[in-house]
Amino acid sequence: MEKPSIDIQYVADLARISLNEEEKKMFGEQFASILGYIEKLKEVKIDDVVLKGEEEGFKNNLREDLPQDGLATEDVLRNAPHHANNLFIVPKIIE
Amino acid sequence: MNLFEYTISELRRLLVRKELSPTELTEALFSRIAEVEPKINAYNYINHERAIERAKTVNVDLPLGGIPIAIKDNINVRAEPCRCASKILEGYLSPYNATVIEKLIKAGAILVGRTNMDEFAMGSSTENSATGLTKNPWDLQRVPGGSSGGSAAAVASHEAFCALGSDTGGSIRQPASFCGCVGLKPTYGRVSRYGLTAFASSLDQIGPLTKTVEDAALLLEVISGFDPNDNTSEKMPVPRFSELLETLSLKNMVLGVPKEYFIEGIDGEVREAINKAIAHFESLGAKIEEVSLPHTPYAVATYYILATAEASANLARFDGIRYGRRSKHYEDLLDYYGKTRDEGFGSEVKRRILLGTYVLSSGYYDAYYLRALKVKEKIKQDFSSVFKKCQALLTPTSPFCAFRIGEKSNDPLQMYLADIFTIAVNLAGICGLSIPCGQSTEGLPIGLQIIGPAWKEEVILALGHLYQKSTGWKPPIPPLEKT
Repeated sequence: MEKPSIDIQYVADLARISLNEEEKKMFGEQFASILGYIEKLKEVKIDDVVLKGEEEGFKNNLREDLPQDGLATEDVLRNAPHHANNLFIVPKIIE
Repeated sequence: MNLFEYTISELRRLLVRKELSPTELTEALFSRIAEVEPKINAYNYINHERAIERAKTVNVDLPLGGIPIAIKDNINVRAEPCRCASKILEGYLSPYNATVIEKLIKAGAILVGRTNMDEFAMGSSTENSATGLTKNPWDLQRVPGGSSGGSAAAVASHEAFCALGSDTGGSIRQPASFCGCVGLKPTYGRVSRYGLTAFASSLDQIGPLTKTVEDAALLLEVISGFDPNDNTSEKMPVPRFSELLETLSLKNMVLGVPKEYFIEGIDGEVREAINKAIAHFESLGAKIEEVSLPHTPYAVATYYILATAEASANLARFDGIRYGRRSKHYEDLLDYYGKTRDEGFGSEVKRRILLGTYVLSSGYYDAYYLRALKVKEKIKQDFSSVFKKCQALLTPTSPFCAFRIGEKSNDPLQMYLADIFTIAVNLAGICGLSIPCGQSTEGLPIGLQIIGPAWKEEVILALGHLYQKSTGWKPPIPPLEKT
């Protein structure tokens, strides 16, 4: 773990959150202190830990594939900010 | 004695004998809510009409027949808001019931409303709520703890007989400790998470907040069990917790006291109250042994990597497309997402999503996330090894009593450290109970945490029950005043 230097703008873009300059400054300062605290994990000896799945691979825990009723269309669409003809209206994606 | 002061076990007896009707009981509770709620603000939503309708027809012979219950605002109840105390879920109405809600309804419970919380359960004070602050019933200038602060304050001020909360890093136990009620975090996988708005899926667990341990046992019995809709719930038999409360013998029982939980910085009065509780168990016949959980100092750091990483993925779904609040002014699709999420989320939620995104981002995964997973294993191993020689552990729930509103809200790291004694239990996937064990000189409640191995809720419940019975515990009525 190197001394953390964070590009807040890059992280905010990945997280799809617009931040104003004030927020960027605030989060930047707070992250320096939180990540500084997290650095203490470097003290722990972890070489002997083998995580479940690391050696034998992960196995999915699946339920039986049985058909069951879904949610009622009107219940779902009631929460949509915009909808028409039983469909969600989304912001324009293709120019 | 006023009706609102009763425990659910006492009310069950009156209801079954028809000495009390569910309608009378529900109305009595609503009068108490009307009286207390303006001071406390524990509820985000109350459905009086629906509750009374239900009270009229409910079968009192069911396990919770006629018992009113409050539900944390992140558990879905069909046709009710499930706002998670967030602006982004303004106006949202659940299209379905969480599994725990289905179970409560089947058991005859009456849902009265939704309790306040930190937004998306992220916080330790209920100050991060888009619907306003909840006050601590013991001192209205103090926080109730969090994130299930509304549930704890409602139960402690007797404007709920019992409530459900959720606990990811202490969110049931810490507010129970701050407000002076009982709170249980069940073993991971004991209770279905289906319909609980996910914060950190590998740590989240729903559990009861009640006036007595006896009531917690009753409620846990109803909400537990495997659920095909949650593949992390386990196919484990559900013991009759309420019938096992009296079966425990302290002879041959070893209770561990982990030395890492009695660190510098723990409040003197808290330390004294916990030591007194430990001595009480000893006087009842238990053998007390000091034990060591050497990785305790790493629990908070581990948690803030794993929980934020999971949160960054879980909260990606809130984009205002299918539900929730949508930004009105945007230029293109990315701008739309960015603004919708900037306007909809509060600071703490943004902070955790950003932190989680960072620790999972390219180049940092091994250094942060993978390392944290391995430290989590170490923490788990610590507990497994001490549980070979003792049946349960006794610790403080929190290093201090309820703090003042605003005291820690500008310093996230200080706020995170408020959960220093509860977080390891979630990381290890085991169970923990907080019960009141005294008061500070300022009259603030102090909580004792009883930690048990996985699937041993009956042990910690029986210990808590024994403590309450042998000390003559009676749920007190808080002053509801400013000091």
